[in-house]
Amino acid sequence: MIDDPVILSRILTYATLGFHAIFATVGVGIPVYICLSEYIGIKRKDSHYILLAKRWARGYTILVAVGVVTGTIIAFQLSLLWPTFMENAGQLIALPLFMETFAFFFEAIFLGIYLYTWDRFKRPIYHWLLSLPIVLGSTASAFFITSVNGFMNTPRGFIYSEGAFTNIQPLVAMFNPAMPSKVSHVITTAYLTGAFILAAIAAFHILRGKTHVYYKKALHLTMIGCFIFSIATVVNGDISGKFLAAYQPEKLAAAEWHFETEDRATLLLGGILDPDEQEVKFGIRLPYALSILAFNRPTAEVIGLNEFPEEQWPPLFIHYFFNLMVVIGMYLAGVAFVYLVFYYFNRFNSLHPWLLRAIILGAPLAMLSIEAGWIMAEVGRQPWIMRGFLTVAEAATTSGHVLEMLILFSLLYIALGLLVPAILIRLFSKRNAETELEKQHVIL
Amino acid sequence: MINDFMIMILPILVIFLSLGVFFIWVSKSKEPYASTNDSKEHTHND
Amino acid sequence: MIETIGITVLWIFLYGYLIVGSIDFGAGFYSFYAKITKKEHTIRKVIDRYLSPVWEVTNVFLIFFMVGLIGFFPATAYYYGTALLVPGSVALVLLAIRGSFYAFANYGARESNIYLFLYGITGLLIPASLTTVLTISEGGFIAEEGGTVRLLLGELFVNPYSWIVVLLAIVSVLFISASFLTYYAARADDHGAYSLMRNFSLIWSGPTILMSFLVFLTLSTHNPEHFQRMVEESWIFLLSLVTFLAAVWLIYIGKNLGLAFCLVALQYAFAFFGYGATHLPYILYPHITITANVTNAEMGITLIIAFIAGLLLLVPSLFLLMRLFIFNADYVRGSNQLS
Repeated sequence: MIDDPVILSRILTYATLGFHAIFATVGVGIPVYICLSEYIGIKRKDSHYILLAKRWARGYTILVAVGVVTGTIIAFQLSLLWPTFMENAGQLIALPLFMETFAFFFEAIFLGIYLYTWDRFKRPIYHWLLSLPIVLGSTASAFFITSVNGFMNTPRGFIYSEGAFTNIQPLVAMFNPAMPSKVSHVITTAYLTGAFILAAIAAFHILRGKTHVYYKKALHLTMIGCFIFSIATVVNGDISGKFLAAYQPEKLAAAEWHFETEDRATLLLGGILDPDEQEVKFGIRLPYALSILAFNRPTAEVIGLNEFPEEQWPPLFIHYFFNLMVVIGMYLAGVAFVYLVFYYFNRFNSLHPWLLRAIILGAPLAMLSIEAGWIMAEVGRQPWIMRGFLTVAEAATTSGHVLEMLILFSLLYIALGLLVPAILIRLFSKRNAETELEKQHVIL
Repeated sequence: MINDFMIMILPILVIFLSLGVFFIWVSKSKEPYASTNDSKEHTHND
Repeated sequence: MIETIGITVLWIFLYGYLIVGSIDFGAGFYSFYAKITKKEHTIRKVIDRYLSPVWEVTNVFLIFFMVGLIGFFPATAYYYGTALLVPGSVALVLLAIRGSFYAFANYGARESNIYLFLYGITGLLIPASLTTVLTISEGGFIAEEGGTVRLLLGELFVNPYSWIVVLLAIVSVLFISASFLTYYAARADDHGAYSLMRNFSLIWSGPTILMSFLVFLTLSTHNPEHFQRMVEESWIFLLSLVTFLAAVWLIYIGKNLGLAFCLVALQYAFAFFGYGATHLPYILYPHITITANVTNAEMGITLIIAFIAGLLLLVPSLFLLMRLFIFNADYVRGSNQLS
């Protein structure tokens, strides 16, 4: 293993993507809240929301800087570690890769302008307009790059014959069947995770005894986002299940340990698999639920893993990651729902300490769920890098130095992973919200 | 029941729909925690 | 046709990275220099006001070039990808350290000498490591045997041409950056910073031109074919020399510094495009040419359309960025209100 470039390349790609996913998710998620908060602040002439947008933007900049850095790394690592894949991808799916850089370029330009022009416009709404390209650019980046990922799962838009690709249709490749459900899930979960992180910060301060209404406004705004985007995530998660059943049944079957093709299929949560007997112990079984997830009909027939040759099975441990993602998703939706019920019915205290603790817990869980979802999606694609055409083993580099690079990059990620939280905490504790609010009253 | 609309179009609509609902909900709802708002009076000094 | 458009677009973006990146990399170094020589107040402010809003944009030029290269010439992913794992990764780590530590130093709570040191030193190491790709493209450093591609790292380390290119990259970074900051400091009416940066421009101008001559000299033995083509097109390199002399003259007399910087940019444009045009049709001697390894026509045309659409979006945005931060006299001087 230690000298197999395929395994090492997979581990290094996992390390980079796993690390990048944190910052990329935040990078897509948070601009929505910055933009909306500034808008409300301007409309209601409420300096609290403006300060909220400012402080969020400040933290966002540091996270985005690391996101830019890790994004640059993965952009190059794709070629360095998977040269054969990128040679093929260059011919087939270069369009969204190319457009992703445009979207990112667009976002980077306006982020630079946005951060340094807070007080430079006579009409504040002009400054707010600058936030729109940031939201648009970051979300479009997610759209394009997820489209490439969709292509890896369902390659379309070409004819393969005698070792060559012909009749190439870049737009068909970009709008492949995996793209819409993936894009939707990636974007709404990013909005959801962004909301939970911001809500957790506000909840943390309220729990620590801060009483300023500034924190409550932040909490309320973000909790509405948590609720709406958790519902959206459940909806497009369900659509993703239907996509898998129709286009990538082996991934759904592996995630569900569903071996025999059968109707009235049961959904399995947890459990321990005996791989030889294909028997599951201790799981929670929901009758008909898998058929409903796959086809919206309790009696529908769901294709089992035994229909596929065993060397094409994805690793079966993705079941746990799939479950983790689903369970956390339900928890996040539940917490957001409880908060809103408590808020709108005056009988309950929507700032109850236990509810605040549940919200704080939601932030790391949401990130964990993002990671679990990506592991399920990417490991579930194995052994393919381009499903049906090119395996991961064929695509990897043949270089003998991947191990050294793995160590090098791991050290970098560890260093950044330790420094980023330290810097953020230092940045915000040095200039806390109360003192900034005091200053603002003078200006406004 | 499962068709191209559901796989290809609906997911994208979900993004726009949820963003729209979020925007309207937040901008139309009344000021949260207004009764406990103790520092609001300083805000409009301009 | 597609290959010509493709390589032209990519080369323009790489040129953009050369200029914008050099300003950024050099500024990092000068920033660190100012810190350790306690001349902070003279140039740090000028550098920060320019760098802060634009640093992220710099990186994108590089990513754009790389992604476009793979899109238009997919075989480059295979050859360069396999061969460059080690040097590429080192450059990436340097870029990562630079980008994140800039943000930490700039937006973080505390000024730290370590951050500034890393920021300054990576500004010189990154161009050095990135230009080795240009060296490798001249051929002789990649071996293809038994279906695998391998980089001859040892050859690269003992080759005089590769070291001269590295030195040229470093002095160019310092020269381009200094000439831009001279102009920027003059606009900001910051006399201390101005005279310091003017001195730096003049100091680095000599080595720049010396290294350029040495590059010619060593290339003539390393890749005679390319050298011969450069001699045939020598007019463009002479133009480069003329613009260089004019720029140095303007900086020396301290007038028309904006024009002086434009002349420096032109100097590098002539040299860079002359170098690129004579390098063709090879992208990698002797394995990849733009004619044999261009992507399929469908993808090529789609990429060109996407590129035009992208430019329509980017050019106005870049214009806005420059208007607000570089060509806005009030901002450069440090006044905040936008008129």
